[in-house]
Amino acid sequence: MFFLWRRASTSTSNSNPTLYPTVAISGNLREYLGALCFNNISTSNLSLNINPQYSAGITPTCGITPPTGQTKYSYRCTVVFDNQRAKPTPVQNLSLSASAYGYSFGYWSNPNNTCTANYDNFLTVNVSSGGSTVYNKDIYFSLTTPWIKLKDSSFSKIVSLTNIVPLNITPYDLDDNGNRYFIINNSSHPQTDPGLVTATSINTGTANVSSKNWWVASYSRIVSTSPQLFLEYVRSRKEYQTIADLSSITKNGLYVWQGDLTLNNTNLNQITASNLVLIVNGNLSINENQFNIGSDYRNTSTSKKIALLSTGAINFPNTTQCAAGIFIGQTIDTGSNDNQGLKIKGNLVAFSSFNNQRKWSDKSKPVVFIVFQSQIYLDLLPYLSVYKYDWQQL
Amino acid sequence: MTGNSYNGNMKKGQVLLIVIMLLATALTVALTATYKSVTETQLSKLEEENQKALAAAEAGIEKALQSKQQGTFTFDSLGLSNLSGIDTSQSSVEISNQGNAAFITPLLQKDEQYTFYLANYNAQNKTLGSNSTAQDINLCFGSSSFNPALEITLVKSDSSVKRYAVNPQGQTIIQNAPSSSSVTNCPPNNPSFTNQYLIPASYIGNNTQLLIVRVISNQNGSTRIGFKATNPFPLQGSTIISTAKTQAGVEKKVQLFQSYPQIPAEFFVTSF
Repeated sequence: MFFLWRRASTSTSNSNPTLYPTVAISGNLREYLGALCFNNISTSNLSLNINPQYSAGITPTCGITPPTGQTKYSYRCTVVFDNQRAKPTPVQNLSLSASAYGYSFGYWSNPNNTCTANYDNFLTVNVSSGGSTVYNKDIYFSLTTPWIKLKDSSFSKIVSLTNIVPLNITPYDLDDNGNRYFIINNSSHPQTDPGLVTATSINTGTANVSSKNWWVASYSRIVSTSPQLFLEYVRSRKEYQTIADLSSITKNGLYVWQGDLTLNNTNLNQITASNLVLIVNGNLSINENQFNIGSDYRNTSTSKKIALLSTGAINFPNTTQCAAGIFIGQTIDTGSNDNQGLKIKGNLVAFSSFNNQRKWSDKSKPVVFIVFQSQIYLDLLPYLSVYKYDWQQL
Repeated sequence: MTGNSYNGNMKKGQVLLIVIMLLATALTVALTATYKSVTETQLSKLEEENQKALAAAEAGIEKALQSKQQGTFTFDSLGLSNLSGIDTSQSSVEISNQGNAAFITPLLQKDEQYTFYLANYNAQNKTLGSNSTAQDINLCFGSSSFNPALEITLVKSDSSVKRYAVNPQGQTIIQNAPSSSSVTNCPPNNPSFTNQYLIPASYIGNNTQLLIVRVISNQNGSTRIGFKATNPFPLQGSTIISTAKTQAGVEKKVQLFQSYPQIPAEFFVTSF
């Protein structure tokens, strides 16, 4: 067979050089997000190559559509076998080499063109008979790292922020408008604006940080108030009450709990006050699937307006789906779950570490969704606050 | 004989002159030492009186912070009648709460924020009103030595939040944020403000409760923020002026501004 092809190609090469056999491989560029795949990818740097098993006499070239811009739809690679001047091996494997900034890697799926993480980046071709052979093979780019979405807030991180937002977004719930930003905002009433993002470095893939796109990278933030320092301030300057029994909280105010504490809806409801700041001088565990919020994960009309501060860790079990309030901890742990996100309605501040092992099988959904609620800060203004002074001698 | 007598008288005169000069020198030294000692004693006494008056004035401030009343009070009426060496009937504390169309914050370090009240805050019952005056507000910030950017957040009573980011003139600290303008309508400050940013009345509306300003800079430093409008702002806190007079007549006056509650930036900005 090989002999015949060589003879044929040799005989035709003298008379008609257009008989260069070619292999054309084309297909869509698709985003693999766990259980689901979506058309198109978004990247700032895409590299695509076809590598022949035996390279002599073979010239691969690849093109991307569209050639400019970050959103890419499809590709086409042409592999030309130069049977006129060289002696390429007609039967061999072509391998795919594909990478795109923001994605882990690109691959041909196995079985071909199915939405799966299984891959086979080799294509066996046979150009013995000459002419052109066409293959249709989509390239899948995998994005499997969980990502976080904020709403209506500003964001600051002492170290670097790496939070790749995929091209294709599935809204977390009805509070999420599905916009492709790290911080989304409400464009209808009540209208809100997203805030500033600062970190030592910022990587959200090709997504802007927000519709305003305000950011400062290489930013070194100074933190002067921690839960421990606030507790010391409270003890010296504010009216507060140390409690050992949650049912003793009958008035709005500022309370200190000494030692570790586990909160659930049952003991939360022992508190008859509606607005309170509770500082736990120890670790705080939130042992509830839907903490201080309605079963729709959205309605906070009957929620207590609370800020929970911990000088140690705030731990959410891996079954917690949603919690309402302002959660401020030296460290925060969201628990580990392969198919359950966490929604916070209020705010979340982790001072030294944030351990998030939550995932969705569908990576198009944010794994943590924090919806900033300014009203809680207004309700807790006398308690979750300090005073500033200006002294001068006249 | 005559020559010898002359020489003897000469020698006696010289000795006398030397003795007189030595006595004069000794007297000068003694008088100088005495004068210096008296002066030092007086200065020391004055310094002691100054310190006493300053400490008493600060005690008056502390007492006023606890009383949370408005008006002018003597030290006697504040329960400070037993301060040693202080004329407590002539010493007083004035607690004033007056709104003004211009306001300058205390010094704010990089990454700190200031909660500026556009609705009335009642410190007694700890409630915040919901109405603001719809007017243009100029924010003034930065100086020749520290020129930061600002993030500005308007918190409204309908739960909406409006935000601004503004860079100082000639610098880009916050990407994609507009630049401030030169200073034309700012409250006087020392050192002078170098940047001005206008928030129009239409954005303030009549439902903005708080205006929160955060200082953003890659450099360490501090700035005051100036606010200026046409109509008076709501009260921003209490100003206490304490005047203490010692029984020796030395008077000291100190002023303290205590803000209304301030939300720390670390608790307001999402972080993980």
